[in-house]
Amino acid sequence: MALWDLANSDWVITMGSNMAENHPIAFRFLVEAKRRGATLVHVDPRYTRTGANCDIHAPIRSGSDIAFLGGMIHYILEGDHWFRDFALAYTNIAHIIEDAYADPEQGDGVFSGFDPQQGDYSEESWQYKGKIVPSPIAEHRVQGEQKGAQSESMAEGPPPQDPTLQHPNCVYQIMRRHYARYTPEMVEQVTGCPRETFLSICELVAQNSGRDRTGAFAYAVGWTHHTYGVQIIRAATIVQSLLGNVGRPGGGIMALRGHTSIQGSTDIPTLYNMLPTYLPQPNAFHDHATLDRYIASETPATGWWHNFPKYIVSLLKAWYGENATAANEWGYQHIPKLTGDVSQLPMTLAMSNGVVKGQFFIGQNPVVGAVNTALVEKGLARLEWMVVRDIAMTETANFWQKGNRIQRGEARPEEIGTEVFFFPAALAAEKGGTVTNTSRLVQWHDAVCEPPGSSRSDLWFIYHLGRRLKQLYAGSTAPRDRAIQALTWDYPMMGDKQEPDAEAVLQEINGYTVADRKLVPNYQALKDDGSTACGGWMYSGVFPKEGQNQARSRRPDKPGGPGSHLGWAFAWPSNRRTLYNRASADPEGRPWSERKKMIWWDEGQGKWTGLDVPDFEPEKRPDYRPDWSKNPHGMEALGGADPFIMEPDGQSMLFVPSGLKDGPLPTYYEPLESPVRNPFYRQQANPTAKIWEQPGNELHGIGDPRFPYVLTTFRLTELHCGGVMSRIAPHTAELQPEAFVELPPELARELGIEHLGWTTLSTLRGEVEMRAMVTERLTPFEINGRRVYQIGVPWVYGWEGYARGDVANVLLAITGDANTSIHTTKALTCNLRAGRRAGTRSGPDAG
Amino acid sequence: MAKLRRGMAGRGARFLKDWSLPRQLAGESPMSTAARSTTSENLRPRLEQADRVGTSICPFCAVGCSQLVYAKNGKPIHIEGDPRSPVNQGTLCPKGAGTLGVLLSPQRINKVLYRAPHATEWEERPLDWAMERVAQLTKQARDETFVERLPDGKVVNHTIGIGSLGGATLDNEENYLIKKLFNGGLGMVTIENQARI
Amino acid sequence: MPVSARAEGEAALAALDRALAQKPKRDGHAFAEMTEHLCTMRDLLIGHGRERGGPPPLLERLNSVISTALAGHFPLGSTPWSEVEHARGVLQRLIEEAD
Repeated sequence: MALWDLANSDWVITMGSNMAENHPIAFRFLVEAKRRGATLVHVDPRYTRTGANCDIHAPIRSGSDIAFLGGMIHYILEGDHWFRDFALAYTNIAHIIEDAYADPEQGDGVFSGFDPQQGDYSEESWQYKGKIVPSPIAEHRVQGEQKGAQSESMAEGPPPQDPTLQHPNCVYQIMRRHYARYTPEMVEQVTGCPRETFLSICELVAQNSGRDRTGAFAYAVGWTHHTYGVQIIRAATIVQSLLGNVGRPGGGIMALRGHTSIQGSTDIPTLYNMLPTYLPQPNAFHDHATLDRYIASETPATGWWHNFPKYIVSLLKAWYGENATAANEWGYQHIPKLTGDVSQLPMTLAMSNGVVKGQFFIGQNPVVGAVNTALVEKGLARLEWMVVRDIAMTETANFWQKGNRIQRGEARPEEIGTEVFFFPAALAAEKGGTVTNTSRLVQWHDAVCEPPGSSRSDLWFIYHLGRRLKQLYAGSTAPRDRAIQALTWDYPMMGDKQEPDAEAVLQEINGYTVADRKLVPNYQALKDDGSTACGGWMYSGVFPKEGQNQARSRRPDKPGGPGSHLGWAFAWPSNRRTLYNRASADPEGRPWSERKKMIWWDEGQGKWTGLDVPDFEPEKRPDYRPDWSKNPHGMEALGGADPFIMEPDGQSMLFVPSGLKDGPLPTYYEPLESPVRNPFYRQQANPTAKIWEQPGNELHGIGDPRFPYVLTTFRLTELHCGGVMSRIAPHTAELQPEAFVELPPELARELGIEHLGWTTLSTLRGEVEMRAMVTERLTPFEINGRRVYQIGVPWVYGWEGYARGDVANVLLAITGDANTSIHTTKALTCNLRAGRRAGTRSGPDAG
Repeated sequence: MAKLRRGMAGRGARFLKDWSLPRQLAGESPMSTAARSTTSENLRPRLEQADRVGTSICPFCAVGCSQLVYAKNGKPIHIEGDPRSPVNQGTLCPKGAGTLGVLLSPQRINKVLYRAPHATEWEERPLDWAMERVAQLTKQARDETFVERLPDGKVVNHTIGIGSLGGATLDNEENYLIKKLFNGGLGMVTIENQARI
Repeated sequence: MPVSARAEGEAALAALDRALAQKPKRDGHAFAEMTEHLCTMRDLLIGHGRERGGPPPLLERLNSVISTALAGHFPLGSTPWSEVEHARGVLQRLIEEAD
């Protein structure tokens, strides 16, 4: 959904996010929704300005989200509050799962298929009965081999279903059993949220969802930074799919992401596991040895992803140009293959083990922003060389001079052999290019002023580094150097600084026909025969013809207009603002209600039309049904009332047969570090969580009396993430000048801590000192009959800039979400005491 | 002396007449004429000096607020929210409103800094020298760590000896070329950014 | 091969044997230790090669062992144990050839 669509919601639950403080401008749409009569809810351990602006604040202990959301699912199913016409038609609620499926309720917290030796699951028993269901998400496939060829079963007929919902292994019955114990009493016991508050929220969403009313969730890293982060979001997906709040105005789940182009850097990924726009990075241990094998294994039989071969061949053609031919697999062997997980956390550990010789840091400051930052510094000291590109000095760039290990006397600069380069970088107003916002809006920014001195754009840096490397490799005859020789690298340069033309790069991302270099109008024009080149198929249409950069388009709707603002910039894919908006119409193609209309079938014109670009084949009739006798593939296998076109049968997955590492349904586990035992199961934590215990990265046991407090980290309105850009800005730095720990008065009294007095926080990973901010915004929780204190610290400080303080992430261990390897920062345990830490240095920042 | 006093009294009277506060106290609207004074009449908007204006996107979070950037002689002089944007409708949060302070911060570094192995201080180096040195080091590290095949013969054509971190603050075009060069050209697989965290 | 590089190789082999004996479901210390020794060995070979001005022999095969070690250290899905066992054989031969 578009951010502005939140104003159309009848309720919004902000959970795992402090939206009013961290995404204040997006919060305007919640304020507008409230003005129009919506009810706002904030579920969060702290009572912040978000809670203050909401109608209901529900406090929960950090990390207990799945108990809360599971309780909502229980309420919706047992009270029969779900939107039956929507969910029966558009979700897999009636699908029948394999007989061998066993639920954690039977397995004491573990699903069927678990291999305790390997610590992971086999998905066989999670499949639709008699089918093998491919996962549509490339990120899922990197950890488990795709079933492309086997997914032929999906083209042989629809998955077995029981529309009466009586079959004991239909998804509806499985979910009812799975969530049977997620009662309001249990929710209160696990999360600490009073059951009356919890029930008032359940009633709110149940009564305000359906044909006429919709609602949305908004979340941020308070949901993702857990070992079960993906499953928290999944739980919200189940709530929304049951209530019919997907693909409709004011309905959805809004991810509030943190950086200006964090969505863009996921789509056009500087990520290890994907090629541009969600194509999987080849894996040495998967069936990827040749392009044919890779395509066979990665192309699902049914659904939109059946077009995969067109996208990968067009990408290879964009990268290797005339050196990509049918005879050499379009250059496929130039693409490196993975052998292991090299995401950021393993990268950090591998660095500390000496694997990495050279490292680039391009606008990222892991010595502040990553977890267990003392271990990060240890890795930096083992590098032979490193490059930092940023606008001001960062804690990463000068770790060898001022780092934690230097401060503690554990290392001296003379002992650190890392050769360090600091390149000054240009900012948005000093360079042209596109960034993609959190609702997929690709917006161009102009170069208005000059970057100062030797500052250059990152485009300049990478382009000129590439030119130099191509020169260095020009004479080589070694086969291993053919990739760099074959790489297309011709972009026009502008001005005396020889700045490459970002529009030329955007045109390559958009794609073109090879013969005449004419830009393609959209991704439907891409082919798998080498006649088209395209750097990122989902962005096709951003530059549909010469001189028409849609990301520069600045034509918002007039007041009273449809409000989809199709003339403002470009939203991938195809400029549509709401994904899966076919679901905004009923199976017959009529809007569910006048109040909530978005797109609909126009019988006269024989096509879909409405207020947004339809996310559906434009002329596919609502009553189209696949002819299974013809073994239909691709989109032919999806009916006219199957809105979720990226899924193999067009149905939203309440129960996920393939792709998730930790189970087909969200189930409750405690955070890896927790003061209490899991009240649901003997299985304490996610059995597939990413844990890398090694010296310097130890974890606290359950209820370890040395670390009795629950700790969460958070951000501030005035200071941004790793902090470089905001700690050097005089105004924002002055507003939040120094690190602090926020704690409740009851705990302050117990520990003899004064408001604004010094405190020391410690874990097995390290120790930091901060001043105390004693507030009633945090209250003690009663968990399982026991008092549990929760405290919080902002993680945005370091020793550079105007606003300074100890690096909070020193306290955190390197552990990761089972599916994404995202680090876990929101629920851990720690100790807290009055007074300063040992070895405190003197100096202005130490106060 | 009397003349001087009369002169002062005259100036005082003019000042009192010009001063906006008494007029506001007397009931004139502070939102319009009562705010006017000789000083305010002589104030000129900073924007008048701009020789260039362009559209930018706020460099902080992912909400994607539009900004209007005004520049003079290649330097920014003013930044405000773009009222046309359906995302922010002219508004900016404290960070976004402080963007000019970031661009002009005295803490920005404008020169290439270099720290030799085991050195205790930074030194300045020319951009061209540093670019060439980094290109040479990249080639050396790649050549020394490149793997064409695993022990059992599987082709991987990769190196895990060089890594890259960062991208969520960059432009799509920049990320595209980073992935293209590092992954598609050099065979680096360890490429990550803030989207993972 | 420098003597110290051989010692690193043997230490890596010992750690690898521990990993193969335990087959830990997650990163055990054995893999971290093995990687440490393999990389120190690699860097010694590289240093040796840089002094002689030519590509050091055995380096490419050692790098392929490190890439496979990564698959054990940070597996994507299940650990490919047969690959790891294969890499063990290569590492042993590398050490023997160095004699």
